[in-house]
Amino acid sequence: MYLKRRVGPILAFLAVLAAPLAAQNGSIRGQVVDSVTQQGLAGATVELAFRSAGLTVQPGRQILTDANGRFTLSDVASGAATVKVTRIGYGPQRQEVNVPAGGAAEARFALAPQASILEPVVVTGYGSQRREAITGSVSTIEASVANVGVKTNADQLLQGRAAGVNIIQNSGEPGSGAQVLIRGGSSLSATNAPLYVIDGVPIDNVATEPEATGVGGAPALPRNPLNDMNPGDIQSITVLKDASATAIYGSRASNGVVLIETKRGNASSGPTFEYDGYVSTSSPSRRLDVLNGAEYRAFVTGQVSAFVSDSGGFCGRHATIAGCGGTDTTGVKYTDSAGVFAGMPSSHLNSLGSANTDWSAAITRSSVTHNHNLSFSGGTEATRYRASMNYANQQGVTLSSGLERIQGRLSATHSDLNNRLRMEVNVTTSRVNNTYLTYENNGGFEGGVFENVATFNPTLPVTFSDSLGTHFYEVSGLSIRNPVALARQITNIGQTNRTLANGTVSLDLTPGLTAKVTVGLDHSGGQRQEYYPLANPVGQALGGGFARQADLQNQTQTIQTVLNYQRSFGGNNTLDFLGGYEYSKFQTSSITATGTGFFTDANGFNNLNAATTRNTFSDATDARLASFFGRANLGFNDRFYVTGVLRYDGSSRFATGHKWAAFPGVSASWHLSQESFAQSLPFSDLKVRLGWGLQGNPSVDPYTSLITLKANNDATYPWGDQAHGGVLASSNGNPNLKWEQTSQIDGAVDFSLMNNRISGTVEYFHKDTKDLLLTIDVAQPALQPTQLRNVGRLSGHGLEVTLDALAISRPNLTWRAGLVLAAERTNVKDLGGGSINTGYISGQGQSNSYSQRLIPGQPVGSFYGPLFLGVDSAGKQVFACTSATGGCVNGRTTRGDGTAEADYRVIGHASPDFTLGFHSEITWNRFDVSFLVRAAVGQDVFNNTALVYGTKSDALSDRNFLRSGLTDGIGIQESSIFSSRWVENASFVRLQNITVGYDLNVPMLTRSARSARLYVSADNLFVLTGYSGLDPEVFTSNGLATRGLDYLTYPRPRTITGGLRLLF
Amino acid sequence: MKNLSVSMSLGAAGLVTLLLLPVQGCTDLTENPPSLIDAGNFFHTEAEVQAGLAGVYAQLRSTAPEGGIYDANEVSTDEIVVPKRGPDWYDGGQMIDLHNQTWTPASAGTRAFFNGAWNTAYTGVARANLFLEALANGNVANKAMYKAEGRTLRAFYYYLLMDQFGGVPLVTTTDIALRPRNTRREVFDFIESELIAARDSGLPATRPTADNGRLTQGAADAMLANMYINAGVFTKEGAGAGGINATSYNTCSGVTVTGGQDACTAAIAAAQRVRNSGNYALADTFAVNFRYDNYKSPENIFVVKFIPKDGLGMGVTMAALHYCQYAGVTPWNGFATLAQTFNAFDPADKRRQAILIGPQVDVLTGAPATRRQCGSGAPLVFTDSIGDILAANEAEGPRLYKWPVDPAHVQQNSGNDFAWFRLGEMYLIEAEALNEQTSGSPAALALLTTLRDRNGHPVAPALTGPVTRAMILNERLFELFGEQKRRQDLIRFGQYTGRTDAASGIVGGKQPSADYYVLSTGAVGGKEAMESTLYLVKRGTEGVDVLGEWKGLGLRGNSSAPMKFKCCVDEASRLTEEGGGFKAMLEIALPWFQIGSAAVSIGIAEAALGNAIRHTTSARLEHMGGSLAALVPEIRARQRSAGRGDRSDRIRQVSAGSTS
Repeated sequence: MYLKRRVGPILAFLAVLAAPLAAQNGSIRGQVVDSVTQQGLAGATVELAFRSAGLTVQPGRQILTDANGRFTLSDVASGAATVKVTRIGYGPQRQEVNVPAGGAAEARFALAPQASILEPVVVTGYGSQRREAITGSVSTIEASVANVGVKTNADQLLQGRAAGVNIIQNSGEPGSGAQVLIRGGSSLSATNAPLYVIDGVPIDNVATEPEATGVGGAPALPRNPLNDMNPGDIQSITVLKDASATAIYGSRASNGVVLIETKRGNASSGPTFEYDGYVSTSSPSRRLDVLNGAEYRAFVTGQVSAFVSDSGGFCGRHATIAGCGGTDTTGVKYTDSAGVFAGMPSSHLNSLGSANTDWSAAITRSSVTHNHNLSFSGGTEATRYRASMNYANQQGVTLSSGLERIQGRLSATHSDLNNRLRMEVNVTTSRVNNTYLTYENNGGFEGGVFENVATFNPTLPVTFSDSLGTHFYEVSGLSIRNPVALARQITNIGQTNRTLANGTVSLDLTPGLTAKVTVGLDHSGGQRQEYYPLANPVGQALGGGFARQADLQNQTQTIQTVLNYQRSFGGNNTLDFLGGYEYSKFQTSSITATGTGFFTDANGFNNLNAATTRNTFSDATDARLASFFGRANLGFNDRFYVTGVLRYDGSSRFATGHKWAAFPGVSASWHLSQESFAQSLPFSDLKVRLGWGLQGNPSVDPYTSLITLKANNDATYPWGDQAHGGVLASSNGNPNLKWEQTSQIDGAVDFSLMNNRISGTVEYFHKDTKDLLLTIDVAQPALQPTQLRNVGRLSGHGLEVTLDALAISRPNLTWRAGLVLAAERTNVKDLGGGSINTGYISGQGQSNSYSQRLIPGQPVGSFYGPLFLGVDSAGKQVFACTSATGGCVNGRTTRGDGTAEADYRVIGHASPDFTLGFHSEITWNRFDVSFLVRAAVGQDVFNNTALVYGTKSDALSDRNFLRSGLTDGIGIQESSIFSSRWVENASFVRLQNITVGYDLNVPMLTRSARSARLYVSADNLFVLTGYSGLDPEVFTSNGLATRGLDYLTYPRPRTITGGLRLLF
Repeated sequence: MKNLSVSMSLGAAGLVTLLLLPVQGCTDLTENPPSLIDAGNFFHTEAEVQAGLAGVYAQLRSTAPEGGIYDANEVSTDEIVVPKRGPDWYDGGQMIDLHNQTWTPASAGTRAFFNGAWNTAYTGVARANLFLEALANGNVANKAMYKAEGRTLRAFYYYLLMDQFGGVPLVTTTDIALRPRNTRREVFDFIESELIAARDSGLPATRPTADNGRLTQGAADAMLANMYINAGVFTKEGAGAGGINATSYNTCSGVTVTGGQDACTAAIAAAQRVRNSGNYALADTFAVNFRYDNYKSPENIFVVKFIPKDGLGMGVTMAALHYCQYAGVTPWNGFATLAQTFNAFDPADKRRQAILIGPQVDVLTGAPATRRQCGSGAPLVFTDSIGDILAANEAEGPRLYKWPVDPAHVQQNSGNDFAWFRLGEMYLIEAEALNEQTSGSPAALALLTTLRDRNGHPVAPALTGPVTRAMILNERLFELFGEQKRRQDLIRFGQYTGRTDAASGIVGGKQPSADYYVLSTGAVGGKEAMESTLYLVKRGTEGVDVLGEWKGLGLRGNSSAPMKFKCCVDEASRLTEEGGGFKAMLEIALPWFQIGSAAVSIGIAEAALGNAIRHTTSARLEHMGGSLAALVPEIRARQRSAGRGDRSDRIRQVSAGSTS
């Protein structure tokens, strides 16, 4: 009874809220058509616009038109109502309709196509907004337009389509990660990757699969965590770029936010069954151009003759010297005043074989990829569902690499209580099987496949046969391995299972006031298995066979509670208020076990017990993020919009007392085209925007602020012959560690011309990052040489232009074209005093050398080193100099090494002057043609591959080298020295994709299918560039904030695809 | 309608609860690392204290071969050179920079080695500080011993810093801050007092075999002995008046250390404490001090302990051995030894066997080794010289192989311990200090003789007195080659920066220090050799190569060198009028040259006198059982008079004696 009395008043209160449901109603019926073709438009959104007086109807109610463009809005309060129809790719339309009580009103909408194919409602943080109410900088990409060709993950959909979003695929490896830089990034040491939000739930974009061990250097970069998403399930991607738009994500937003919305069920056209599949074939677009067998043989014999000639001459002058007395003087090596001997001693002839092997060709192949999506969706107006399955199998263009994905997704929405209660569940679960080629992205000079393609002697065969069978040909005792054997014999695979699930319940408490609770779970479990067999020299060198198994578990749990209040007042004024709380918990744990010393390769990595030495490692971390946030969006008279955002974030990763910070944002827009004075202007739409905001970057490892002890091998010390486990401090801690903060100002003009046939945005931003998280050398004594501190500032600014045009719009022919252009520069302002060397150079003989320097006043990614002037008559490289170091004469020196560092200067910039994306879609009757061209102008790339493998002194170690080294005039004894010679202009124009499609005349084929489309597509058909390496778009991670380093990347494929899409 | 509102209200109630609950519950952001240890919550048990101490010890591994400290101590001297071999080992010129001593604050060698040495040693200090601070707050069994070990290790890390960097900031707390330097004297005094305190209040005299490798009192005394003998360097700031002398011996004599003692006296006392402790003895063979089982050596006092396990073993042989001479492992073929250093050894000196030269075998299997490609290449023969430091081939240069690989090695990890201090050096320190007190001290000679004799298993022919400083420096080279002492010794003897590599036949190695060369050329239009013109050419000018030391017969007091000129000389660098070269030579150069010649003559004469004295005092007449000097009065008298007067007198007298 007590309970009942307490509950009673609440029930009564809610009953009052529910009462308006009982008003007297009518309905609206009608059709939406294309104004050009007069064909019905399916999937248009029909909604009842806000009404100013009396909250008698739920505002914002939406339904979708059916296949013929027809709709019925039932249960509408009688009287005047404003109906608004919007559809992607068309301009919106409003109509006043008078709804008779108990009857039906008729309405017909003819929508005009417009230039940009954009959803009228934009997903923003924790909700959505009408496009016209947006005050921040937001780019939207419709997946249906972008998803052509071979797209294996969501990042690829963004390439070249959003201004200011620069994406560099790490390599051509299937599933390789990408560097996504929104507006150039805002950090040096913390991540520059944007925050990804899938269906409203932020995901922790960390590696889902354990790293491999490196053989001679750091292992290849981890694969893209978004590989678990099927691009076919993505409805749209929204990129929040400026601070006012991203501020709602506060601490995690300084690198921008990518909001991914997945496809949901659609009831308007009945149950739908869709198949979408393609088969493609790829081949490497370029290969390492090394000497072939004949060329290498000729080179070595030529060098040996030169040596024999010099030593013969020497012995003529010094007959008594040891070695000169006999007939064979080829091994003599002395010098006299006549100089050093040229060439190579005759012992190098021993290394020559009789074969002619093209190692590049031997490890590459034409590969096949196939991808199948199957989905069905449907439901009633209240309950909708969509289920999909995806199977993708992508072969890499080198041996032993590939990616296989099996993924399933379920999405269900349900509304009840007359659409006042809405529930949604999305579950994606995927399994990705990766097969990795053994190679290193940086550092190493032995072990990896690509190193050995560059260096393995081309006069040796891939295999040879003897009485015991056929074996791979290996050279003993060298760190040079048969690359084909590496690819074939070494097992390196990984699997990831990932489940992304979220559930949302939202309830309209009163008209306009909605409460929403979202629970998200992201769990991934990744395994990595490696086996380096006894049969392979790498396996031998690792201790007689080496097996490793690693397991990585990531879990993120998120709960969001949001209250949203929307209402209109005073005519055309709107208020949209949102407030909420979010809590996320991140947990990671890993375990790795290795075994060394096997007597058989029979078990592979499966039986570590067979190893003579075993090691196990494990680790666990957790972190938490708690946030309160609020956003108010005010619209005045459809002309002015003002948005204010405040987020208060707390992260466990920072020091006590610095865990919480507030991130505000303010922005406003003015719809000039609504003003009477603008009516005479040629704009069909004109809007100016201005915004400011503050964002954070919390990407530091957990526990960095604390001094913690760690038990590990480095702290272990033997007393007697027993190892005694010890601890050491894993970091210096930092009791003042806090957020990196970026403030950003953004100003933009959005415009449309010629009845929305041309639309565009011109946008300028300026951003400043302060309290930059930097790992800097600390004063000694310290427990570790470096400490993570908030020092330094970065400053960036840029211009972005987006243009879309509907060039032709006729019943049988439409042509849309779009251009995105971005110019951005991020400069280092301050690094806490001094500069920082970075971009460590990979390869043999390059230890402790670096190619880039972060210098206050210079852009991030500035190459720094000696200026190359040419080659002198003695075959030595000549560099510019000003100081007395290194024998500087007349501004020229042959010392380009670290002893002449005073003469180093900035010799290039890795960031492009501007990037460009141009896409075009033409539809002619049943044919459609689309293409995407991307370009970057003014970027420099350091060709580390050519530096190390393009120097003929490699032959002194019996190693092959790049053909360019043959004719460069440089002496065989000359070292490979980093200089401006290796920093090349890498401007490029790439035909990213071209697709030709044909819509089959379905009724002629089958009665059950609704539509069918066949297409042929080509990816990376050509690249125009002067860059001499494999590809001008490179990414090698080698130090702090490095860009534009190219070292032995996995070759990028050229891909031809044929596909079919069937809709039943 | 009723049902609807009820279910709705339940939903709303649930939502309100959900909205409110987390607000209260989930704002706690305290970090509790699951797989790390909070430093403030540790060191409660003896096992935890031992784990903390092991971490302080573990930093020793970075001080021994190889790493910044080792490379700075070895490659910058005449013991090790790392030539560029094909594309290998150039590494931005860092090794050349280090060897040729061309480093500057930002040059490759500094970045790679001195920064590394600084951080390595100071990380040890920081670990010790953290350990000692935590230990002070807890109470465990044997606390005094752990504290003494921590202090000794910290003192050792400071010893490394003082040796390489002089007066460094002295810090005994864990906070990180930029601090001013202390004086080198302050650092010296701190280390000295810490070592004495640790020795007298906690360090045991010996350790059981199971704790072999842990610190003892002997370790503290050995380090003290070394500090005292170096006191002439270690207590002084830089060069100049009252500072370190870069060109002559820096004696311990006259430097006051703890208790008002003279440093030489203190060095003798410390060395004797070790020698007479009864805990150490010279090993019968030299090699036993370095083998994989060298923990059995009775001679090693303070070692970096290695065992054949991944990451815990010694791998210095990797740097020196050829790619094809270590079965199953591919060494790096880098470190080589200079010919002049190899040739300094008496061929009969067994200690020279630690240097590989000539035809090579696999160090494990004994099978003949080949050049690359291994197995099919030409036989591997290490040469004594290196033709060009920037263009060496794979077989050039002898190799230091003092720590033979462990038969039980795990990959490159061998179980040989590295001795920072061993008894052999105590003999050398004592002898050197005695010689400073009494030049030519017979007691010093006796110590050196004992060391060579090794309990009746001599490593080299006995030395003949009297002891000289040069003899001691040489003996230290022979005994301690590769053990990180050479840099320290050369500085103490005033010879660190004076070295050249010419005697090793190296082109591009450390050059004679002339910055400018005077060239004599035939004058333009001149007809006779006398009509010459002089030019001044800067070292490093394009087309000018100095080809190493001139090995001609005759005086070598000046630094003449064969040179090669390929290009043209600037008119601006002409020193004389055309054809005025010979006149300038006669008028300007010749007087100076005469002085130089005179100085060289005196030097030769003095050396001859020294040899004569040595011969007459040490050469014994077998049939009469006495030395020449003792038996022939005339010689004895000449010798006595030669001991008086100034240098020229002595020379005159001896020459007079020999002609009469």
